[in-house]
Amino acid sequence: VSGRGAVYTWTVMHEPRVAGFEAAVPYATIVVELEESTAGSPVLLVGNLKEVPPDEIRLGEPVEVWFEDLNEELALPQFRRSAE
Amino acid sequence: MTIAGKVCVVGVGFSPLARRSPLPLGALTMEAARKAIADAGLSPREIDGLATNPALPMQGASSRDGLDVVTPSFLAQTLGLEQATWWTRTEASSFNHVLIEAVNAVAAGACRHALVWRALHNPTTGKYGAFKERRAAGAGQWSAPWGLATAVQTHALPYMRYMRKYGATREHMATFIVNNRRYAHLVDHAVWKDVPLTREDYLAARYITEPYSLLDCDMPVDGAAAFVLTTAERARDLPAPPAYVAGYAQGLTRRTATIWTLEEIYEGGRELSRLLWQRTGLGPGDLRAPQLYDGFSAFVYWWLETLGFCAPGEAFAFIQDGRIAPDGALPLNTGAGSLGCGRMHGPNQVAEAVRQVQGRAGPRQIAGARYSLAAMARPGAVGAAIVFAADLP
Repeated sequence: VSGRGAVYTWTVMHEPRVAGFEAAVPYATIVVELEESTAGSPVLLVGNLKEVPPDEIRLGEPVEVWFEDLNEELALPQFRRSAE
Repeated sequence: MTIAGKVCVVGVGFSPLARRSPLPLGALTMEAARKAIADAGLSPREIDGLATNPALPMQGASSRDGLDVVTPSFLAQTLGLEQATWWTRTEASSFNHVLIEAVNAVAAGACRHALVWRALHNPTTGKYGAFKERRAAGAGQWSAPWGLATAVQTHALPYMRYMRKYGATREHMATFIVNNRRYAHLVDHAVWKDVPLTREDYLAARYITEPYSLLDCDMPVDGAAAFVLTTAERARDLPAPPAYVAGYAQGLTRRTATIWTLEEIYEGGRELSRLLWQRTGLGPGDLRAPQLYDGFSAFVYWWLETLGFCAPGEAFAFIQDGRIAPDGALPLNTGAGSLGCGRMHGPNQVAEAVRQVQGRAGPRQIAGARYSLAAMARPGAVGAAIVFAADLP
């Protein structure tokens, strides 16, 4: 897949209920609809949109993937606002 | 062949619903069951069918019989249900599956007097709905590494899309929440019975996960609800007016992903709704005081829209201007639902729909409630809706 898509929806978590994210609250988790989606068959990926304040996230805004290195063995696909 | 008019609810009973009960869950369930059996005008010896869904309130909760769950064997022993032979227990958390199983069993003649209950405890250890694993496996590996791992979060996702797509706000939802609380003051077992709530209180409530605040989520409680079902023929000999099952429809999610979408809710809900109206020969215009599931507040919007009370994207506007108040065109959730009574996963809706068509809803009674409806869980997916009727079709 291309790694490009649009913000499909999100939620902003305020409670420290998820392991590893206790100190991160409030934080947004977004769902991205990849551009490979077709009518009736959405291709959805979960990510974070770290540099965007949660109240500035917009439905449908274009995003693209980047890879966050957590350690030497593990990288997570993440999203940022598309350049254009 | 149709189920319509064959089976009816003739007994309803609740224990108190409290955030923390001083009594063990087994005792609360015995109380609810005894009340339901007495309400039906029966004795425990006449109960010959048992059905419950002892699903745990959260992952990892313990399951000691009589303390954390209440099984058919527990009630058969403690209440002396000597005739009980047909029984079932399902693992689904929502009450609809087990209730429908009992309806089918009575209709099939597998039992004559079925006792159906839901007992739920509020765990004293751990944080309700918390995710404490250090590794995520299975479907969770696609969401937990980004901090998405609890039910309230996954349910918040379609509501955020709904709000942004259609322009719904928390001010719109305040109308429903405040209306609901007024009904809670009229329900004896409601956990929020004595706590008033203003629009300002709702708007000031702290977020759990946006857009859901504390007051958009039902409160976990200790408590139990029970129902007695029997055949229409047998009901003629019993004291209470029967609430006939006019029909039901269920949904099933046909995929296993953890992220489900607003579009799926609409698609599954429409399918469920079409089936329900086809089976009952009724439509939304025939119903009074529908009882729509509200474990998370936005479920009510989606049930209103998919059952056909209004079009998709319109429910938040539809509920304004007094329409859902007791004297409005569509009094809604007069039983105060899960948000008013406490987290039971469906019995609050069933009890009030039954009471309304029985004409026994007391201060909440809506005139002319010949048909009412209980909708449980979310539209489509795991949800179901059951229509109750005051008389035979």
